[in-house]
Amino acid sequence: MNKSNPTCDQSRLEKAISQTLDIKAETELAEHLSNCGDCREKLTNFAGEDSFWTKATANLAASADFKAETNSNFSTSVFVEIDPNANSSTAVSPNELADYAEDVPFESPTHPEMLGRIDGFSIEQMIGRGGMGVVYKGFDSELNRPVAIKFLAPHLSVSGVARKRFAREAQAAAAVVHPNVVPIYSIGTSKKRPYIVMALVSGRSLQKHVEDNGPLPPEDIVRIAQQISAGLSAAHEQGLVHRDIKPANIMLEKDVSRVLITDFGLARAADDAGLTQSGWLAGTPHYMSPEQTKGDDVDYRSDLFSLGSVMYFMATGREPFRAENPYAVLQKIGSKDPSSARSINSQVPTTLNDLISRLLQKDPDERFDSAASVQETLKQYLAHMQNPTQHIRPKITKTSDNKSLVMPLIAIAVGMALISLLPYAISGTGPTFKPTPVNKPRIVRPAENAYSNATPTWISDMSVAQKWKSELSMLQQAAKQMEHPVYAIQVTEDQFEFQKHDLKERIRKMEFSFGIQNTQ
Amino acid sequence: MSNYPKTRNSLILRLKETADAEAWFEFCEIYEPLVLRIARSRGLQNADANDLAQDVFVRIANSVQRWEPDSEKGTFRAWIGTIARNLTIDFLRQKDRQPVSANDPILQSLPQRCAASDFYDAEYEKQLFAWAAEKIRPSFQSKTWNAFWQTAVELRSVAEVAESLQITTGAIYIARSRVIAKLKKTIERATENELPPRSINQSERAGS
Repeated sequence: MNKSNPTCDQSRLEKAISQTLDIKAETELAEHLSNCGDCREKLTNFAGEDSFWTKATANLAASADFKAETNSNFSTSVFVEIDPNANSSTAVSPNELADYAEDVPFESPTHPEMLGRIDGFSIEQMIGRGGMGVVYKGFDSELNRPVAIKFLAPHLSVSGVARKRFAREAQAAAAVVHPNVVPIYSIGTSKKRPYIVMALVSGRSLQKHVEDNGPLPPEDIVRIAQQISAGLSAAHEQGLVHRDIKPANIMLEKDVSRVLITDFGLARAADDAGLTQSGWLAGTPHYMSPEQTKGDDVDYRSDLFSLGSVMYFMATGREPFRAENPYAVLQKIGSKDPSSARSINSQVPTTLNDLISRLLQKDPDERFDSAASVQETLKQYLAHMQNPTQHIRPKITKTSDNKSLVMPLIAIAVGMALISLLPYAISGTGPTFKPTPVNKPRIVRPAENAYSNATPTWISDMSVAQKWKSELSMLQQAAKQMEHPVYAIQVTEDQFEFQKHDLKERIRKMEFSFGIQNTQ
Repeated sequence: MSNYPKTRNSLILRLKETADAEAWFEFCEIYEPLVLRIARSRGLQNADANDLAQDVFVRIANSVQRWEPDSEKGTFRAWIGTIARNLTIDFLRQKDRQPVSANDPILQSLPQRCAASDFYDAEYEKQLFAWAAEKIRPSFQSKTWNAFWQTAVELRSVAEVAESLQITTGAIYIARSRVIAKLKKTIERATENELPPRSINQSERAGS
């Protein structure tokens, strides 16, 4: 047709594809394309060769009908979907409940308004859902009181070892009687799905409270933290480590200014079921301690670190360690120091700031001695805040300052020691251990070698399929978590789509910067 | 407190490189529906198909432990892709050898069955395109997408679609080329460094 047309311009076609033409130029080009077969062909070839077009047509036409099928039948059955807002006390729509119908762990109800019943309890409605399982509001008809019943998730209920551990931990947790710990009334382990009956706390989680109100005033932070540390202290005295202290597990009672810790021992039971760290399960790794992220032994001081993270969250409205994905968060917890709470929120007093950073020390020895001493300090601090003339402010020794001096010295010393070992290493004589590479400031993981030695400890007493199901659900959950930013409580469909798109774009960029597609 | 056993590191923690973790997410996104659909195509019930998928993924997870960056293996993504391929083809071959009863759905699909590997590769390609299309779709306006889909996939005439979408034919050409270009890029990115089939030797195969 118009082969000699001056508007036939290769670069304009390229721009059209990369979407860099302005509207006017694009309209002009569209008009031109309507008449110029030559340019149409060029554009088509520029976008993709003939064979690609053909492939695209064939494959997309063939795949058009399986998309719906995949969505309806498959994804939900392999991946356990986990609600990111699991701990918010929102009732679940009947429709949503239907998705779980095949999974409902209780018998049919005696009363039409009830969902069902189990042992002596009638079950009224689902109030939350998380990695560990589903929580229902129930009623103890014998003692005439409302209760919360938490069923262990199916993938945690299969192994006998896990069930036994669950029972043991629940018993241990039930022994902790303290005003700041949600009391456990009873447990049921005989049924297909073990469950715990707890007091029903009417109120909301600290997570929700901070999401709604933003950073809290210093006095509130100290008051809440004081109560958490009191509850922790009581549990630690019984030898029980919580392992999953996070804002979603801290309940604030309605009207009363009481704080209650929930889910004691559950993290442990889940961990035992062959799953990984509690934080993963419960949906967020943000509050895990460095020793947890590394898979090291965990003791009560791990809870102190998590308490520090929770206080940080109260003070700033965000977690101390944030990254693009859960994996990166874990790495950060193990290796990076967070920016101080005070640098993010200047309203945070220095004493509070120092207290938080003391709790967030990587080395457990550098944190407080015990939850009791944290509580004592906080109590003193609270008294000071309320009446500065009568009470002195507690002194927080800053350990990080000395450390910054000492660490390089150690590094130099280690470096020199290694250099002196070098001749041995080369000649093959001398000490047989491998020197730690000095140029890698990464934390040394003692357990690391164990993994390469073939025995996958995480696949042991549970059927592999089940284990993997959990593993998958965790991955899925992690991906989900990325799609639901922590603060998004209610988003519209549009916002969600946008966020999803934005997220994918971010992942793409990240991959790009890591050179996934540029490695060769 | 030594009575607390060591916490177990998750698979993903074992992936030292963040890029590998990302690749894993994407891998699951592409391969999970693929493996499931293949299993179903051979007459497996949903639950059994899920079991197979889990089995495949468990074996892959086991071999992930052995993953060491190595130029011969190509990228992590390519490596797990090859493992998934080998395992699924093994499954298909096994399934083909098993005796079937007269009313087994497998029998009904027997005539059009081809070699397991060809079948897998065709299914994989289908899945790859479907996945890529899903991935890029949100970045286009629905008009652009429809212009592409209706003319390039449903093969309706440009003039007809132009009229129904109320845009010029020229705009349709631009729109569909744009989508194709992005589709191509996305697929290339996902399959880059994929080794040609069978270039990984048997010892690398997971679990076998």
